[in-house]
Amino acid sequence: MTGSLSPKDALLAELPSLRAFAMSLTGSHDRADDLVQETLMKAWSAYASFTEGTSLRAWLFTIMRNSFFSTHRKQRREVQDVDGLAAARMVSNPAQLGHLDLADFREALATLAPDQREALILIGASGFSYEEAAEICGCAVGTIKSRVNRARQRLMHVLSIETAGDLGPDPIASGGRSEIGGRS
Amino acid sequence: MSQDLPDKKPPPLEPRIQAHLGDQLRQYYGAMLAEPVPDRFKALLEELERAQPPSSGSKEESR
Repeated sequence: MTGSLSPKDALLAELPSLRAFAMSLTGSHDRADDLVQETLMKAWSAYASFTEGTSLRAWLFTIMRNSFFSTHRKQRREVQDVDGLAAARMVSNPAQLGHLDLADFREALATLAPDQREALILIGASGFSYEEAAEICGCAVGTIKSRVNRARQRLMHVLSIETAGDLGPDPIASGGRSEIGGRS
Repeated sequence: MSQDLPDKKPPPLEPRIQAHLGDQLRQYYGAMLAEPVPDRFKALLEELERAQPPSSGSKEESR
């Protein structure tokens, strides 16, 4: 008995993860915190249906992403509409490729379709297995895999990383050519 | 030694690129994980606990 936390303490311990996932989904602090609040309240009233011994984080993420996709989807759609524009703008500025910083990455991430971004975060950052991610998202494992793959390709495209050489410390000419091998 | 311009296109999603994207992703997520949690959430949970004791209260033990 002493091993288990009270629901309040268990939820408190998950707050950093909940906020990180919420920010990944919404792309904004304000909307993320609204989503966290919504998730906490739903989780609280549904706590009896949580099975002890299973992953509380996965359970909470399921509640959160279902809330997000049911109520936040409309807001998100606008962002998807400017998808191509954002991508074009970023690709046209390849000078920063050698030293991509987090802000660039964040922007690139924001151009992903929400379901792809979600899959990428769950697998690549939150440490869930494909099976767990599939359960959280209520879809097949293969669907998660293909979303992650599409997300990665999309990120590479947006960040204009077309060759591994672009990652190196070499200064990159801003001619937009893909076959930059180095100084000539 | 070798030519500056590679003759063949490297395959997409090279391991190095994936590793780079993975690093960026973990940095991005790690930065968010490290953010301090606003007090409003602790307050909310305390309020919920007062107003609406959790239904699975069986694991509450008296000390």
